[in-house]
Amino acid sequence: MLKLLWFWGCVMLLAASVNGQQPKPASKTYVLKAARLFDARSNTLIAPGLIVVTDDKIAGIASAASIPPGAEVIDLGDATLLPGFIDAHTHLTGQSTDDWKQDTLDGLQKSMAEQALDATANAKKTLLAGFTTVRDVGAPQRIDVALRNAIRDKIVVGPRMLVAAGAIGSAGGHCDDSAGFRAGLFGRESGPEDGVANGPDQMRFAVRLAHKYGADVIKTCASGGVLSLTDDVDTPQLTQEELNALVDEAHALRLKVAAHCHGSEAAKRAIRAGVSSLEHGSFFDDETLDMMKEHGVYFVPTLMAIVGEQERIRRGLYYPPTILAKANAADRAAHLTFQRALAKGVLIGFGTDAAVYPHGRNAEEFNEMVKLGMRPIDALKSATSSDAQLLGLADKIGSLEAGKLADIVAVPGDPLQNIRQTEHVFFVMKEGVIYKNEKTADTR
Amino acid sequence: MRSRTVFVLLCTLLLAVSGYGQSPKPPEKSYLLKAARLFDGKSNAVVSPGVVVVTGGRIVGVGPSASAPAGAEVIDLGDATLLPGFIDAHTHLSFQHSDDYKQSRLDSLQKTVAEQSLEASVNARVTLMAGFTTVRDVGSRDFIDVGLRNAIASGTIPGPRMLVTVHALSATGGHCDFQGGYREGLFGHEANPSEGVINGADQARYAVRLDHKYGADMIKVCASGGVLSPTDDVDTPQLTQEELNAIVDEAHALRRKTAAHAHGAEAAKRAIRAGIDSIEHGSFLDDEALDMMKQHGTYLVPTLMAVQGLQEQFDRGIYVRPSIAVKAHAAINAVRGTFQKALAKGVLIGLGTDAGVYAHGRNAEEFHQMVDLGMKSIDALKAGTSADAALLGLSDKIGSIEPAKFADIVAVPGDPAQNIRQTEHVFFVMKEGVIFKNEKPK
Repeated sequence: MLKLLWFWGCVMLLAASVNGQQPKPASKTYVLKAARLFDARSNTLIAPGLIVVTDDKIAGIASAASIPPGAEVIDLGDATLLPGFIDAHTHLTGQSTDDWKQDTLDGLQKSMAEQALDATANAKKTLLAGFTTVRDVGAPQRIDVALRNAIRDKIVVGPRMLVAAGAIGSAGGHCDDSAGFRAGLFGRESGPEDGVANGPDQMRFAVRLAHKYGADVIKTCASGGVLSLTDDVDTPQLTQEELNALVDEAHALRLKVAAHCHGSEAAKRAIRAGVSSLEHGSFFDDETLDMMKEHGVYFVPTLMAIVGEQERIRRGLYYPPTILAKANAADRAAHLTFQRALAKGVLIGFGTDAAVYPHGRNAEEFNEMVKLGMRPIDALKSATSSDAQLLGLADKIGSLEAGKLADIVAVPGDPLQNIRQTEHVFFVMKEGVIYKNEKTADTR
Repeated sequence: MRSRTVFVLLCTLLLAVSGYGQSPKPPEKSYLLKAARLFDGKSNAVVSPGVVVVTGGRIVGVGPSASAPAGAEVIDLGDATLLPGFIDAHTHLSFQHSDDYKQSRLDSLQKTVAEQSLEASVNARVTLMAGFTTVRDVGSRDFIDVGLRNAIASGTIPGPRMLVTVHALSATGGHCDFQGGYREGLFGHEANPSEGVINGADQARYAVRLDHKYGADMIKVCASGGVLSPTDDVDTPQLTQEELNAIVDEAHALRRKTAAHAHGAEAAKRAIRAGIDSIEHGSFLDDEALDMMKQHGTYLVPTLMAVQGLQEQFDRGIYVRPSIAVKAHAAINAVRGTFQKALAKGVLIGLGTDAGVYAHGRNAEEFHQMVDLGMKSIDALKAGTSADAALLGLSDKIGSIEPAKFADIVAVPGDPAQNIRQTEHVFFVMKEGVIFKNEKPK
């Protein structure tokens, strides 16, 4: 009798221990091999390149790596392994097409659901171009939050996203999406719920709303812009007090601030307020660049925005006349500003303004920076270790080191010899999952 | 002595007071208009010669025996035909015709109402100069039509006399719900009766009252789907019998005539039963609907220039939104046949063009469109004059050249009864005795 009880007791115990528990998945290990490796920490490449990936993390690099039994070996041949690229300035939820008017109408006519679904295509293209992380700095109706979550939950294929949950600016400023439409059309004037805030108190409110609805970073429009309909491109659009309040509230909530900024006066206000990066910077003067250097503020030049705009203009595609004039003015000035920033040693982040040009061409930013005098190694660092610092994720991504997330890409040949090899990413791994491996024609 | 002085002083004072603040009334301007021919809007033939005497904005005499007052200015228009100023019973003067559909959509959202009104004033002038001295404007937004009508009436801007409808009443999501095609929530609220969008008989009545309150001369309703609306079928009935009954009942109680946009037969029949005064477009009307119209005295306003405008855009490869293109082809294929059936059955036909769907100023091409489909020239001319005047309820004032009517008079070269396309060459336009155009061809 006791023996029977003992037996059934054991069975029940076993059943209980197994019930509701999935068997723990076996650990997956990859060994990635290539002719070279760029770890984003040193100034030279490591050859040959070898990375051991276990589950979602890098277990070891090169000679320091020990290869466990049962690891799947992927030999990428005459290629260079790099950390997954980071784009610090995207708008994955939109895409400019050749038809400006249709794009504007689509923004008014397509439901948010449809716009969100459309955005998934942009996310996938971006990841497959080698960009495993993006900082997404402006979207309608908080679609960016939805996209980030769907990617995180593996419903959608795309880069890891830090999102702004929309951008914050003044009434009629670059970030006021209702500018250009007649008064009263939308039933009410834009307000903090739409990211339009006036006065320090409303700035704080807008930051709190963005945080409430999922922001990882705060984006603000400190100056006018090119692609907005009613403002000058360079004017300061927020007061010192407004920027102070915005940055103060953001920092209190542990959110960094990125400021869209073309003009010098706007930039100086933003720097004094404590922003972490200035985006575009077409007309920055020397005083502005010196202040950026002094405060450690990143300059994100978005040179691909210029490429996107000038390509359209060369092809004779329609831009509203006011925008055309602003594009030409900003695009003409921006390259010289970049070179002056480079010469002064201002921190340069890699960010492209994806959506202004077609998603997936992000890596062309490398060549744009190198053409203007940046060293290829520094260009590569800007999109890896530098951007990781800017995003506050340097402990997790941005370099190939044991313990970091396994965000790894590969390009053919040596990008230090030819920076344009970055435009031929053929292997993409994010957190240990392979999304692209065209060496073996295996693309997910 | 003193009393006499007082008396003289008082008389002087009285005289002074009676004259004070009144400028002497100007002598009324008189014209004697002469031309080779005249069509009076009602007769079955053109007569020769044409003589009209105008004094103070009214016709005072017609025909060779008419005598002009001394000092009348004589205007000899030569080998031409005098006609009553044309009437277009279906315009949208506040809509801009454009080959760029997407830009026109954006303009309607981006341009202020003030700017749109100023642009509309150009359409008004162009329409008048084409010989159309009266229009029935059947759909506008933001009271631009009321503004235009009033500015024209006060002489501030040149244009045709306008009867306006303020809104074109519609069901939610119907042909005249301007929010159709835009995402939900964009405008901050769902379109409601104050914007002409109604659901249910009570709301329908309320909307008529609002239109009347804000200056409507007539009431327009969208009884069926349409071509240029992006989200509906072209022919479906969009208002119930009860809704249409309420609209027409309330309109007629307030002494406002009614017009129904209706492509489909079922929608038209509901409107006819409700007592509508005219059916606009009528692309797919069946025999039953046409017979009902004949029986009720309901006018058909075929707007043949609307399909002409659409066909031209297709022929030129102009972008047409796909959902609209499909419907346009269907309407183009059907409406001409329906017109011919209506003609054969003797349905009352009014001239109305849907100006705005094609370029303003080409209104007179509707004459030849109708004649090409079998209408007699003289009947086409009547449709654009006396028949339309009856439809508009203004037969006592316009639509014919007869003593006591308004001096709305135009002239075309040659004889439009022989060549209807002469109507497209109006070179003389007088409205209420004021000459707006006199370009007598050499």
